[in-house]
Amino acid sequence: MKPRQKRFVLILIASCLLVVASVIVKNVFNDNLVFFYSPTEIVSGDVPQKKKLIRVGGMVVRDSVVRHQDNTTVSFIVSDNVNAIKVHYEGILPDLFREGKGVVAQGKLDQHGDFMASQVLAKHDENYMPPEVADLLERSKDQKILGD
Amino acid sequence: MEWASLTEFFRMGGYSIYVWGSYCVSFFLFFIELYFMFWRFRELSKTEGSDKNLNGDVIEA
Amino acid sequence: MKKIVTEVIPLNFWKYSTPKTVFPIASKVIPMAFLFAVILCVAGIYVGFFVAPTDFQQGEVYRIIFIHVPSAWMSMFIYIIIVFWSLMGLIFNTRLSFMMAQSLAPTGAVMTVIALWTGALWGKPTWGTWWVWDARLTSELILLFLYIGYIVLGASIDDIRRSDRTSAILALIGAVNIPIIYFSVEWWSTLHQGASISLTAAPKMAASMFLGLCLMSLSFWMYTIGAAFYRLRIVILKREKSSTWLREFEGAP
Repeated sequence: MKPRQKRFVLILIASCLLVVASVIVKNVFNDNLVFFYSPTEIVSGDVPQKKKLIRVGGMVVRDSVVRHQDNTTVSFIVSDNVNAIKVHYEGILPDLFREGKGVVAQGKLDQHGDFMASQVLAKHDENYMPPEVADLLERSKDQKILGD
Repeated sequence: MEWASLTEFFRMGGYSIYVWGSYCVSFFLFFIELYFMFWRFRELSKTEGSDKNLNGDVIEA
Repeated sequence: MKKIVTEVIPLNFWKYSTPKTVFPIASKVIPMAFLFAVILCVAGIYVGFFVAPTDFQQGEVYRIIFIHVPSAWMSMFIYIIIVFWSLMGLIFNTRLSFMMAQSLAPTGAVMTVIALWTGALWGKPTWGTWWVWDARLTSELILLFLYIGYIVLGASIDDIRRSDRTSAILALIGAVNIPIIYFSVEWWSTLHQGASISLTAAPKMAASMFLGLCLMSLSFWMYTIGAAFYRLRIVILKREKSSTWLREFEGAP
């Protein structure tokens, strides 16, 4: 084989190895880089027990946010449309924390199965639009629900 | 036009630190990159016995 | 007849891939690229701040997008181009390919820093945190380490041929990270939201916001082209200081 061909073969082999490596890295990431679990995964006990702090992610159920009298404690229900978990949190909520929008809470389950959060992060979606358009969309969605 | 006044524009709906912090630092980083590049090129294009660089610009001593 | 054809084509190809032929081309491209970068940037900022409306959920803070998304895109594109040139260099053993790859790396690192910095400044007011160890943010940070590693490794080996090849191999290994960054938001649960712009779906944003994003992205492309060619001239000057063609080029202004 000519040196150039040899090099080409070597590079081909290296590329194949890289693909294999990337598949492995992806699998490793799957176990360790899950940022949050859904309420269903937590309720069914799919979450590794050894983890002290876990994160739960889902939608804040509409009309579920209760602000307690001291005004710093807040509780709300996080749902993935299958299961739901009640979350208690003491602290300042991020600007984008809204009912019906995404949220990720970090903390642990107490003995009642409630989630005691030490940090609450807002998870927004990838849509950007002017407020007027958002209003229109919201209204047409409501009309559709009424129509059904 | 989105903004009622200049102050309104600089306030960025209360997010001025974040918005202007992003833009200013980013452009500063570009500036730093360009500055070092230009400086390096000037250094390298100073050739022995020549007072001109490769662009034909005269370099001050 | 056949023999002539196979000999003529490579000859032309190699002619345009030597430092000697590229240097004057680069010198012509650089001012044009920077000029377009400035024009497109001014247009992009105008559209981004004065034409694009405010966002329904984030308010004005979303305007960071016009710098965050283009820099994040460029951080990945530049790495892909580096991988391409490294591969070309390793296969065809052309020194210019390695020079191209090295000329791009610092700009790639700057783009990555900008993406991370603007991301932190965007995350604090919207998510409620500067930084989280989710898959998207972590893999973008790894990209920064790869850029730094590539630059440092290349600079630390004195023998040019060995330096070129070793850093090119590092670039190839690091290529795994690019699909990880891009698909992280689909493969794993992340705090970072999914892509607003993709080749397969309509942009999930208002038209004027999308226009601003396009202008800024083009501007960053032009900046990258200008900076890379400028740095290519530096690399050529450093390496071919003693060659006769450079002296002739200097001698004829």
